[in-house]
Amino acid sequence: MLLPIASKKTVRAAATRLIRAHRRALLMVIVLHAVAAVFGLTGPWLVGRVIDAINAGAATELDINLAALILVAAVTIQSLINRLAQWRSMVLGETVFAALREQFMGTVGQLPLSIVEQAGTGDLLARTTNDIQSVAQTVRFGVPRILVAAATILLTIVAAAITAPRVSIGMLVTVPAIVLATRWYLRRSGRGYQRQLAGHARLSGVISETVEGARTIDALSLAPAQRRKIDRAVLERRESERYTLSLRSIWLPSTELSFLIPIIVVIGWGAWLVSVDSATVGEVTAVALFSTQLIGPVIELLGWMDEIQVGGTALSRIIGVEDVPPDRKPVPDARPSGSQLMARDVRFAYRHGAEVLHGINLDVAVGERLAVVGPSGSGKSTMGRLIAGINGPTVGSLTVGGVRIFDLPLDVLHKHVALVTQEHHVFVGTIADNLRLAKAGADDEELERALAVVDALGWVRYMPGGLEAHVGSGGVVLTPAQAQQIALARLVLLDPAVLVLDEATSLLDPGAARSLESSLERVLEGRTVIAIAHRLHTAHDADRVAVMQAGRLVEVGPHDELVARGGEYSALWTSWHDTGSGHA
Amino acid sequence: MPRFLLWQASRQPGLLVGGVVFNVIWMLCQAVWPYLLGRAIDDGVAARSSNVLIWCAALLGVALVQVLAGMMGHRMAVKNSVRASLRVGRLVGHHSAETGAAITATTSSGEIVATASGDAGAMGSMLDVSSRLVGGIVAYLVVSGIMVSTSVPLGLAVLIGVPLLAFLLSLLIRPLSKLQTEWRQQTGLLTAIGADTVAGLRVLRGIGGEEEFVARYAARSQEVRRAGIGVARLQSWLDGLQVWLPGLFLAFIVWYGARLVLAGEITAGELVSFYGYATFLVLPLRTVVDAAQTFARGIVAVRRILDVLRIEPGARDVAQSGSPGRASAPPTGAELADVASGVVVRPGLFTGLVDPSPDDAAAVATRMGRFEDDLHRVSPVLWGGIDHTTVPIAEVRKRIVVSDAHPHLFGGPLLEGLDVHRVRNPQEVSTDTSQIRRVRRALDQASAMETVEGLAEGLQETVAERGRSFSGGQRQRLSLARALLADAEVLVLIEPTSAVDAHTESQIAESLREAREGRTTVVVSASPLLLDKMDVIQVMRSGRVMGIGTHATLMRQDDAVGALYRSVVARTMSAAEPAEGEHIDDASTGAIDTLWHQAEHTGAIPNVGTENARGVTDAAAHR
Repeated sequence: MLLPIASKKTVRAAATRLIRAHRRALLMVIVLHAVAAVFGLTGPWLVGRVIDAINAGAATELDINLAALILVAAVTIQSLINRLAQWRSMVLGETVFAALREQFMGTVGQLPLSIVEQAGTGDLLARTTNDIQSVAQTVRFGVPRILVAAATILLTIVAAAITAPRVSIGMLVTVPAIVLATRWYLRRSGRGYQRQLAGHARLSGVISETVEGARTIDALSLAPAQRRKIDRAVLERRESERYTLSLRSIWLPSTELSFLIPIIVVIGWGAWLVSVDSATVGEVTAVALFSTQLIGPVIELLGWMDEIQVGGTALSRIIGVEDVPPDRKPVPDARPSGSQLMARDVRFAYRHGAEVLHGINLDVAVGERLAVVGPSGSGKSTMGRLIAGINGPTVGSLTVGGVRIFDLPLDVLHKHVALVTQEHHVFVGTIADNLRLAKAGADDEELERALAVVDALGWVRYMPGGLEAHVGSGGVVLTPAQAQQIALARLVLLDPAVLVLDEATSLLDPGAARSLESSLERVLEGRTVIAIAHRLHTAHDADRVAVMQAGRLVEVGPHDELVARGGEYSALWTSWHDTGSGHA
Repeated sequence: MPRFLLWQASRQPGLLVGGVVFNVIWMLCQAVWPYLLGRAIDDGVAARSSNVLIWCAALLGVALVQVLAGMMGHRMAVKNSVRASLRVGRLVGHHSAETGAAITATTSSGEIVATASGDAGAMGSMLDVSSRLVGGIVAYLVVSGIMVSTSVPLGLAVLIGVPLLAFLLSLLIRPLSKLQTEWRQQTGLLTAIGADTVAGLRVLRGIGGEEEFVARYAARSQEVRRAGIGVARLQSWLDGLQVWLPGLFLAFIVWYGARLVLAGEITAGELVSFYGYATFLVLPLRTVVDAAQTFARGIVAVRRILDVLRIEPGARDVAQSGSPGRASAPPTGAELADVASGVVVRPGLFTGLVDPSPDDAAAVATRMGRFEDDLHRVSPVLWGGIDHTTVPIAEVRKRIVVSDAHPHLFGGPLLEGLDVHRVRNPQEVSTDTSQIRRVRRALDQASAMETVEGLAEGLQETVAERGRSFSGGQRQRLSLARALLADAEVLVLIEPTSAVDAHTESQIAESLREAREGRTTVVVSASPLLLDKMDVIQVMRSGRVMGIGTHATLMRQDDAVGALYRSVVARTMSAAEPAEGEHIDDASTGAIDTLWHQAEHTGAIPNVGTENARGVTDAAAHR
């Protein structure tokens, strides 16, 4: 399953929503740009006036000086307003872009975990990095520039129409040609640019794996193979570039011609108008100059078309994340009373028709330590995920304090149930940052206490900066065992009523794991602990042991009772002692 | 650096010259416009003459030439920049394939990739902008010439005014690009935080830390926004100046020209031409500003490219001028001796290296492969009595293969990626079926067959770059299969089973023996499962050999060496020291998975089959 991509309609709606949210600032930007554009039109208008005055023999040197002064004033005002307009529009772009990425991250943080797991993190990662980057250019510069260009074009045409309505009709002759050529181009370019981007990503990917794996390449003499791969990626990149270039080779000249021809038409058409005394030479001059002035903004506008397309695609992937359906409908005021766990005929299937759990019945008392034992694939981890509320049972009921776990709002859920798996991730930041995720306001003393419980205080103090040592990518790299200790320290800070440990100490060596588990136990006095066991001593130390096999609970009971019963657990225990070294 | 740029230019002279020619034509056409426009107004419109049609036709002709030249100019520009940037990208890529670990010794891999794409692009843009710059300068000279011939003072004003304007505008560029760099760094940091959040999302969702994290991202995002606004402030002044300075210049031209018209020295049409020239000159002006920016970036980029290309591999063949005969390789089955540690690897045997510090043991093993000649000056390795740095590097790589603790997988077809035998022996011909047989056997020996069978297309599957679609354990087993396929005389494996579960580890320990029977194999590990299979174990402390034995003898040996060995090995075993060391496997550590398999095997626990459940949970766990 892939994460959804927003439809054109949704993207448009989202864009409209953004525009509406920043209506005022946007309006201000447009007005400023319009005013600046008006002042920019003074030049041609003045030149036309001066020529007509000289031709009429009415001009004096004073008039010319005055005209020049007006022009200087107009240019100065235009520049100042233009500067202000640019400034406001870039600020707007930055603000909108910041809001967009923050909203995106907010959504990502709320994504149902079950869906993230199905879709994989690769897609989401690409959206967080590449897509956000490619939308940046469009939002920060594209939208403001397009507004400027559009406003300038519109105002220039209006100014020409006011100066000489009849002459300026000639300006518009090629509008249909520009529209048609651009539509032809845009229909093809989108895919072309996507291919180009993909080719770019592939080349960077190959080079990056070459650099990162340089040692392996050297050790195994793989350089020739890797060189061939690079060459293939280079070729592909060049091919993709060639395609878009051929598209532009048609589109660029046809549009350029389309804004040169109007100038010629204005001259020819104006000459006829002058000959029949329907226009003055100054008017024709002014409109011809206006037409010339259109070229700049039209080029700018067309130039952004590609960027807008790329940005639009990226935006549809960014907004698409919001379309992920929620995986649950929490009951808003669901509050468990107590933390008694109860499973009644719990069945579960990840895929329709492939049931993994076949009717589990289990009660776990408050403060009990339950070890779950079974071979890999027996459904232990799935059971843990259901208890932690990541997935809901397909059939049956699983409750904590009398409330269905899957119905709990997330913040309530996290206060009651927490899951630590063998998967660990150290976040970029200090060790303190990493711990405070679980308890935002915790002071240093509290953090150190938690670290002491998981036997990590020693090495943390030994690190440069102690709690403030920078870890994660770019900082000190923690060993998997250390990362696991940090994950467990978070759990101590979180202090949930029920906690599920899914092989949470498997990366520590057995001795350390056992001592950590016993010190955890002291701290978690009164909390319910469900430990999915990796090694038998965990089971031995628990209040009760639940043995799972092929999605069923085959035995539940205290260690001694199960050993005495002579079932699966007993067989397991005996097998360990037969090896001659098990002394639990 | 100039040599490098000239070399780049010399690789595409046609494109560069073409770029200049078409740009000059394009610029000249634009320069001619105002002149023709002025004549059309004077001669046609004002004179009410049918000559207007001739001028219109001339304008149309110029328009057509301009459009075609513009198109060709654009093609040349893109090709210039793409070709140069891809050439450099390829060069950097090839270079990193050759240098080995030295490439990332001083620079991060991210920086090298940025050089191969970003810096290469910046260099390409330099070639592109140079041809446009030449076009702009020619056009500027021509226009100035036309203006001087019409009116000397006006022409001179343009000739001096434009470079002055370009200089003034370029002053603002330096602080701007400094701000932009800062902004880019902050953005990079923000992206990293975003990526970090996504990577740790599963952990965050398990403990409910997502709100805190999103808040942290938002705070950083606002910082980036403020930095962006800082850039915008300066950028907007630059934009304003780009309007104001040419505008003032234009006002001066209009004022001066109109006075000339009034004095009857030039015509109204000529004034229009002057106006046109002055607006046209904004274009070459922009090109100059653009070129200044591109060159500033490009020079930094070229410097970085050269820095990467100057990186030399850690191990290189000694110059041929050395005494004759030194470069001869030892015969097959020569003994390897690491002088600094005292480790001696006897041919045909399995040698285990154990040290309380795994890094020290790995360092000894790595030295066998000769990756850094500088290192061997103080700690030589003797190969059949010969210093192995004097043996040709190709010979060392062919006969001694070191698979380090974190071997990388590479993208592309899986079969090709695994069968390094073909890459390493290109002259050898083997049939496809024998290749597949060979690869399947190695996969079996590395317990990686299950992984390959789980792929939709099996061995024909295209692996994602870095093999990132595989889990850590899967990658390790696939790389082990690849190392076995290298079929080397001496194979050095550093922590080959650190990321696999105990059950698989014991399988691998069994089959490794069979795979390398009779050939020299060195294994660095602290796993009793693997060490139990070694012919000889060298027990070290701080990279010095303290004693030698086998697993069985060392487990019982009642001296300092035995104690040292047990202290290392026990870390991965039960906390309790075993009474007897005769037979060790993972069961002794109480690993449920292994014990369960054993019990099923002996019939103590009835096997009910778990296929259904396993497939699904594994799939969910490996994403």
